[in-house]
Amino acid sequence: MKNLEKFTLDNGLRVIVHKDKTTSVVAVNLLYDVGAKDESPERTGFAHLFEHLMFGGSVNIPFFDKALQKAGGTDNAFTNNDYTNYYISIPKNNIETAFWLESDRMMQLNFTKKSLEVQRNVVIEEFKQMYLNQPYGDVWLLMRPLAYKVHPYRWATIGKNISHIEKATMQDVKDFYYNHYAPNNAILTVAGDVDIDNIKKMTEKWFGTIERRNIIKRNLPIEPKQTEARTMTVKRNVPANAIYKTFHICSRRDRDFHTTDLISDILSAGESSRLIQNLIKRKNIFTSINAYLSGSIENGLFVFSGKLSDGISFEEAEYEINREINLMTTENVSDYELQKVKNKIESKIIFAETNILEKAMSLSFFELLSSTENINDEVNKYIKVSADDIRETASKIFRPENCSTLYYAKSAE
Amino acid sequence: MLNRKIQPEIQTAKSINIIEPEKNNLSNGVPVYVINAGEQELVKVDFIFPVGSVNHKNPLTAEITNSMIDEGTKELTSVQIAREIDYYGAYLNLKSGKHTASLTLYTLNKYFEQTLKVLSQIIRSPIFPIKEFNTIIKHEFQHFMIERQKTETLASEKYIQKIFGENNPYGNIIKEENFKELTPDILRKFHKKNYTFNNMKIILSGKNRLINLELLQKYFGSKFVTSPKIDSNNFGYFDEQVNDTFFVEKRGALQTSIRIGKRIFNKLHPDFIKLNITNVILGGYFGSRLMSNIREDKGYTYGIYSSTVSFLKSGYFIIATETGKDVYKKAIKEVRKEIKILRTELINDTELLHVKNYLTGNLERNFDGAFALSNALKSLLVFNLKYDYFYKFFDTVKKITPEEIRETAEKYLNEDTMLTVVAGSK
Repeated sequence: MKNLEKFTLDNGLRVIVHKDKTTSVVAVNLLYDVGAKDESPERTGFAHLFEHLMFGGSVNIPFFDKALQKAGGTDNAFTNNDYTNYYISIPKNNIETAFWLESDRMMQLNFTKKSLEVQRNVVIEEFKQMYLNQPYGDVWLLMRPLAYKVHPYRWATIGKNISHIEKATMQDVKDFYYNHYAPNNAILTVAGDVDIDNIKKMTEKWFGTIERRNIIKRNLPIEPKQTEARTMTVKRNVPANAIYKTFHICSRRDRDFHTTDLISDILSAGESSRLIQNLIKRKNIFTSINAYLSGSIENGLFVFSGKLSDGISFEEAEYEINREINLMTTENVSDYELQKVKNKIESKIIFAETNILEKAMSLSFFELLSSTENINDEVNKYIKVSADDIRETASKIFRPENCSTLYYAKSAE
Repeated sequence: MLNRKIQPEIQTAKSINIIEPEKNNLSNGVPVYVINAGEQELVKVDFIFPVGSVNHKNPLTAEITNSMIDEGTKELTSVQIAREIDYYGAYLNLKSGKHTASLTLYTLNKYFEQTLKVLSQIIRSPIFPIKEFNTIIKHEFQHFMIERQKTETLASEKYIQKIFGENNPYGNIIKEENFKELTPDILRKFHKKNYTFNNMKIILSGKNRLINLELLQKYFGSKFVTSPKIDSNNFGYFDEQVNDTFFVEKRGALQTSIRIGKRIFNKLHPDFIKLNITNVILGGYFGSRLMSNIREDKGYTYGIYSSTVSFLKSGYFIIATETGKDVYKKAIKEVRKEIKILRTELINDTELLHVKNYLTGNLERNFDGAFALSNALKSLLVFNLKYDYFYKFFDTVKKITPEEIRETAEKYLNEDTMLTVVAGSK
């Protein structure tokens, strides 16, 4: 990505500007370095609940969304285990409204009892809608605590259970805000047909006066190395058996990451990938199967998830997954197959550049990881991966004692 | 001192700027719409056929024909096709609806010819092999059974059936037996009849090179035998509209799905744009009245939306939400209250201005970038509309008055004319 500029305000706010003349819409992305991993084990789901409260009005602006809509903008946000991300898309002439809005809620959120009560209910309904009232919706509520015993990745962003959300108090809300929401804990990216000097002026004007806050130093427990295979079986009212297997992998910042990512692509990116061709189309073991990385910043998971064809046992399904795993750890991939996944990555990166919002999010994310400029090295890091790297890394990951398996069985109703 | 209470000055768009496509024809008459925009060396090619689920008595036929069209041709096996597409870093998106089927190829310019060649074989000579067919049907059936565990699916199905009538092509929802009735031969016939060059339209969008058009000519420009135009089914009958409440039971459900609405005209009706704007006020964006009341004030739901859906011969208005099972009756009451306010009271200027600015901002986003432009064009082609539809939309947004909104709501959105479907546990 070209036309990148970066600066830091005195209060610690990191700002990235990317000029793209081809679009009339500007993306304003504000990432806070706080996620579900920063929650107390007794108060899970809080980072996400807090994200909802960020739309409940700030000290000078009672209605966040209305003010933005008036300027023709739209916005949303998401929370994951690592960070919380707020984004706005707005016509370029009205970009100052985005600065006004985001700076005000960074400076001082309006804590109201009503907003807390309502959003608690909204999040509880979200919990039911997305996790409890969906077939297979609770998989990650089960899988995380199976794979992680100590690290806060052991709970999902939505929280361990509804009661944690019900218990959230106003004092919790305030503490969370002052401990995590601050210019020195945020990364602002502005992307679009913008004038860099103008963005500098506006950033200083709206964000410059916000004071630094004392951010609680992150001190996360380290997940001990898994030493034996773990399994769990549940019965649910679903139409098909499903199997989930996870293996611990490196962090997003590790040099093995790109190799690990390519392993998952060889297994399941695209119709021609091994799992789809061998286990769905040729052998009909699964009706759907996927291999992917959990996408976290710290030590993550390599995940297999598959829905079994009728009449296939868990033993057969697992045997077939293990066969594919063995192949990855014992034989080198062909040049053709390796080139194929590299081509796919290259293409994916070029296609992502057509979307201004996606670009702004990636730029903030890379700044959080290391430094935003590193985004331009990504392709090279993938290109350098060799067939030997793939086999060696696969051998490191796919050890039986590194694996947790969830058998999600249909109950005969 | 900075006054943070006052919103920075805003500008609203005085007009919209749409890059209209350049229309070309291949030597055989196939229209190609070319949208040239963007800086990345890539293109998107849409191949569109005016055929969908309403064109066959089995509502699965069109969908499966289109989704397994790339599972083997006279020249290439299913694996070979998958490898070619993947190797060149391309993506193939197969979509079908009530009246259209599309094959969309996303590809880098440098591999345009290689991938286009595969596409031309897929479109001309798919063979729908039995082995792949069986695998796909198994997958689709399992997916169908999973969907039917969801209260939202049960509510939407019942709603559609009641709105159009179970015997109407639009109300003809997919049932278990439809999977058993389907055979590769049915798909072959359906393909042969409908995927003909005289039915096809092509949209080429992205950073285009001149050679791209020449390559389209090379792979899609050959002469063809004209086949009959696709005739839409007989839509002459619809069930009579009712305003009853229907309950679909799903034991153990933690949430209740609610659908409220009625059958209504489509995009081609002169009042559609006004209806669409009125709908946005009610439930068409995050700041809508339904969202503000039922989510942001009461906390009954994670989300509530309303929309106007257009099909070629009809359409419908729908309000959809999932609520806690103890509060669904209260939610329905609030929905009805909001509709009544909409049709009896005048909207104030502040709210109207919000909605107008939101909509013009949205229009700007709808035409931003090559892919957005091609999607906009696609939406026009289905209804055989011209670009003046978008300009008229923009104009109506600018000019619509509180009185017109109240009048539109009163005329078309009376809550007593709507039916209600509820799915959940008793």
